[in-house]
Amino acid sequence: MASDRDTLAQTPPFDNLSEADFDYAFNHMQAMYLSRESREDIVRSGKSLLYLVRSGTYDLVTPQGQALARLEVDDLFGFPSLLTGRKAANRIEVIQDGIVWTWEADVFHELRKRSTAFEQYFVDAHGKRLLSEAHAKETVDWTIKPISEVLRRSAVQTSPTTSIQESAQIMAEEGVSSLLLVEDGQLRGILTDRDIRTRVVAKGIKLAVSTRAVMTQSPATVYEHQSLFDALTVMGEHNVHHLPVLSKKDEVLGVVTVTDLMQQQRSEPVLLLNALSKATTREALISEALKIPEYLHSFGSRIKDNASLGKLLASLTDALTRRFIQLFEQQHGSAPCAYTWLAFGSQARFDQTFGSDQDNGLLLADEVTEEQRNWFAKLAEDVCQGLAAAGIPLCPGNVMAMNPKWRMTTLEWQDTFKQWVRSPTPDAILNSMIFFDSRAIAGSERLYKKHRKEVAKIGKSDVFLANIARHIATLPVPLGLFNRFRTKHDETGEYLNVKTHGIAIVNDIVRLYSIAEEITDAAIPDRFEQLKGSKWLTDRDNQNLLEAWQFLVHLRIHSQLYKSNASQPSNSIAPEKLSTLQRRQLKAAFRVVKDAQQAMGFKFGRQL
Amino acid sequence: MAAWKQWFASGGDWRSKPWFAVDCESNGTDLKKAEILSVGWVPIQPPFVALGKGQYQVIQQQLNLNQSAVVHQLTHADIQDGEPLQDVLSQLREATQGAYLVAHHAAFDKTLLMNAMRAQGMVWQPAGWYDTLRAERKILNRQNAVLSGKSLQLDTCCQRYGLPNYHQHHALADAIACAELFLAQQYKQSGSSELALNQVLARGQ
Repeated sequence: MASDRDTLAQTPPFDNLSEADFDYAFNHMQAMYLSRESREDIVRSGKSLLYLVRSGTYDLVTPQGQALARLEVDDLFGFPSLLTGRKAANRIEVIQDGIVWTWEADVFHELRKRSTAFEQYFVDAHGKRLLSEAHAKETVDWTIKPISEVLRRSAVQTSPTTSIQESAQIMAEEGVSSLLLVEDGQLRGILTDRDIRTRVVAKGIKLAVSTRAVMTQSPATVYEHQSLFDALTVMGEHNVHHLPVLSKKDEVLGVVTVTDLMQQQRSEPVLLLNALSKATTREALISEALKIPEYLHSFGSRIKDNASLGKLLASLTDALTRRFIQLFEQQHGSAPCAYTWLAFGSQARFDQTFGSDQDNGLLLADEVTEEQRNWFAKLAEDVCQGLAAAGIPLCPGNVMAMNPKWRMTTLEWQDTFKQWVRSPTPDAILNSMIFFDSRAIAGSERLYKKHRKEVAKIGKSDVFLANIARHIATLPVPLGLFNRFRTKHDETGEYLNVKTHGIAIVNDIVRLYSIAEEITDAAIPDRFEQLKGSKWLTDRDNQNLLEAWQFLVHLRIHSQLYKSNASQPSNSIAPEKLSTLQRRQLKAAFRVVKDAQQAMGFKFGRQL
Repeated sequence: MAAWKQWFASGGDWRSKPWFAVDCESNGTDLKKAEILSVGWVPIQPPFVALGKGQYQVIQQQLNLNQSAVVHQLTHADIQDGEPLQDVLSQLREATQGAYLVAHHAAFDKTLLMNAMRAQGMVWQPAGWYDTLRAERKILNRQNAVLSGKSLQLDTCCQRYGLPNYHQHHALADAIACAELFLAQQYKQSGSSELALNQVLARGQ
């Protein structure tokens, strides 16, 4: 059995102290027998102490007698009054006597002075910001860094009517390898060093000709808020090394080059993507895709921010889908009319996991003919079966493009949404949960954008939103009376499901507010960003809920990568297998989710 | 006034007295032959045990460890690297002179230490002794509990009060466990009334 010293050394925030500071903390530690009577001794002495529970059970109670939290082994208390210097407002009710370790105020302050990590821990805990600590420690993996962060200069641009010679001069003066051609504020094309070599010099084109004649028209682009990983994907698909970067309003911002990306350190995702984009047959693509889980498993152990794995998986599924579509088009000719391949659910939200099944559909131009519909039916069958063979299971609920029900024109889709909104039956609410999270994966981005805006308008109905809120309010958060975990129990042990009882509820709440605000982004972090300043969520609650979500996602992916108990259902977490800090954080995260759920209930309660 | 006098005569408040929990590990249970292998002691300042001020000393001895090594987990090397018995005893004496001492099965530790002190020519006068084992027996008897062989062992007693488990048969760990048991016995039994020193000592005799 561990000695007291070992026990303390493993308890946050003491685990972060230097050896000398730890010795100081340990040498000034006292064990206290905490009972109703001994508690009175402390009250009489007027002492403020820091407490760490070793045994026994205690409740933290407000002056009005309301129990706030049940304190058990490894819980810390007493620090708020130490930090503020004010007399503690809440009191400790002894349920069962036991031993607590204590430190006097001067020792506590000395440790805060000596160690900023120690100080920060209690400041965070006091501000109920325990979750931000876990997140701040993690450096953001470069693949999920937004492109805007590597844009080093504003766009070097000119009009497409500029002569080739003048264009080349601008490039030489600015020292760039590509030039953007812009007209009426719209990006018309791009000209690169290679274009000048292959399309101008090699072909003997006169330098006085306007650049429009030799530029790449309507080049592939990325948005500044997209990730570097997205940029890589697009480069790989189009086999280009320069990508114009646009703002959300389609303004031209600059260019991101493959060199910019390579300067970022990690290369694993690049290799994965290359392998996918180089596969020239369906079979080769599938066999490359089947290597992904193992690849990500080794990559995942090195990745700091596990939440980015969800994004990585979704991006790989995106790339895979696009490649299947390309291969199909190579065999059967290109699409007969405008369309968009849609992703729903976790892929759309960028929180895909290893077990996630497919959720997809097709958006077709309204003028599509019956014959053309047949082409899309074949495409859908080919792609969905391809994805299934590549390790992304078919959707048991049949929410897939290969189901004719989810292959609709914009008008048909909008009618379907109107139907759900007008009569929000339980089925309609569950459907809307899937379909309001969508993203364009392939095909026409413009068709999708226009359609998604219409859908946003349809969704903004008070009655519909109130019904969704009522549904969300019934979802159980596994936190019982006195802030204790409510675990499931079976022959495999005690566990709780972080997905259905945590992540999914946050997703639902954030989706609800997003629908209310007509936000069309699907990724949860993007939705949080867009919800800043919204009347539905204060910025502080926004931040807290985002941190709770990040923590839960982190925990889930971690549990999937390093599953200790194979017999338990996926997404299961056994609280007793977690570290003390993680257990505290998990409680804090569920607390935040529960509070957000209640706040949502109040906001929409009036409308019920 | 008379009540106050009576209270004073009873020794005053037990919480204001200096207390130490002490535990010895030895190479046998036969008091005539046993040698002290290690000593642990820790100050008790009700309701606290000053864990950080706990002391633990292994004593240098040239002897055969017999069977006891299995119990206290000290090796020959530990014993050979230990402190001279005289140094350890004088440290203990200095720390605890005039204090009240607490031990589990106190008669054993008391005799062992007293004999050793006397052999070194030291005068050691603790203010009194409290035996957590005897106290526990009294408490259980009053509750008409049925006692088994294990009922009065230190770890069993600690569990009864919901105290954390310690590695047993390490002199300091056992001294700490004993100190916590001592506090539990007083606070659990005192109810809301204030205990006088003599009441506490009477329980621990």
